[in-house]
Amino acid sequence: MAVALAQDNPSGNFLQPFLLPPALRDLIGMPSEQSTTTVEVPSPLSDVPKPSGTTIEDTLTRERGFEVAYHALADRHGANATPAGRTMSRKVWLDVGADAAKWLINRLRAEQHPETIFGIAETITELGTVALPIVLAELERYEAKQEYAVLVEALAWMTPPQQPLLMSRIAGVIDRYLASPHIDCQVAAAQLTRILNNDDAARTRLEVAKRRAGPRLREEIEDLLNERFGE
Amino acid sequence: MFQRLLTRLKRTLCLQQQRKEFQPDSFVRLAKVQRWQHEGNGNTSTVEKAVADLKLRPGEKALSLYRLRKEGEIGELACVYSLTLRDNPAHFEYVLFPASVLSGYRVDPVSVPEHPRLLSERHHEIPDPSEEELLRLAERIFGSPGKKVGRITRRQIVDFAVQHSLLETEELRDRIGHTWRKLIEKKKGIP
Repeated sequence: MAVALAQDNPSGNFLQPFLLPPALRDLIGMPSEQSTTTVEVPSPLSDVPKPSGTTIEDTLTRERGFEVAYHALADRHGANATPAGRTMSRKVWLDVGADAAKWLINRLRAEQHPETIFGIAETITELGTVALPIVLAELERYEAKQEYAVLVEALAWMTPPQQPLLMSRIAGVIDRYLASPHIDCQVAAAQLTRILNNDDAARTRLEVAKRRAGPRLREEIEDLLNERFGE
Repeated sequence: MFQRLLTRLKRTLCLQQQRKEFQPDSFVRLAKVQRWQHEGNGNTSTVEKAVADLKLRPGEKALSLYRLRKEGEIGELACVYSLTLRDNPAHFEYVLFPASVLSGYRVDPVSVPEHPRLLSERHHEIPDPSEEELLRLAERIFGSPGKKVGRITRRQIVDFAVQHSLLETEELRDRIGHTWRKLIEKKKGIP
């Protein structure tokens, strides 16, 4: 992560510490004082989540901070070569929370690099309960989209939520993506049944899908049934 | 039951087919399978999709590839890569092509000391390739009769880890993320 930062921003001058979380401040070696800028100006970055009460300068600074951290998402060198190192690197996103999830989903729409896509998914998974309602809302906004299959899979590795409403929304996403004509969506939906803590609900969905599945989905479902039920 | 037997038989046949076609000096690039599967006769739009797998990330200085010398190494490489460098269990998708595809390109062996030995030893780079060079490389890979596009499944990765006791090996045990670890332990029947 630090290597990527040094390459992208050797001087580090443009990264002011206004709204950066502590982990990002540490990462870029900036002092932790706060900005005194208070002028309210509408943000030109309509797609980027902007917390209320922030200035355009704050938003731009945070956007630059996100960019730096984003380029490191697919980096598997140096400290990021181990799971513990990657978790440390993702602290930048975890400190920001819900807005980080929104920002990452926004970037995922256009991202093409396979390892960066994995990096986004892993970060969403690690954001866990903070990201879950945001991801669900995004998935519910549209018909099943192939580029969102990775988001569906990211949910599969989260800790199951306790709230029945969230669980029922997850079940709705599974049904929507299983019904998609895209194989990646179907496979991701089958994987998402992992998070259903109701065995019957998971089994029923998998068995219904298996009846009309092609070879790849069938294999995926058989593996899941084997893993969960020993069948 | 019959379907499961059929699936296993297909997997075995597929592996045998892969072994027959393997060329002893090949390179692998991590990729998305769907971008490399032919739609028609390798038309330009498909090559344009495939080149997305060769593009460098901002700040990246070279194109990473892994060199394979023996058949069966792709499975081992996929497992070690996935288990140690990916935190969410996922299939490993790749495009494999004969070394001859890279004739005329500078390809350097570049070890990555912080990675497991297998990955470090097999890692190669094409330094500072231009967009044009990457597009030409995508075209060459696409047109190569020795090209193979494959997917090592999550289950194959877990099975490999169980069969080779990877959780117990000194080099890998602390590098395998906790979600993979849970899947491997479950497969081994560890509660």
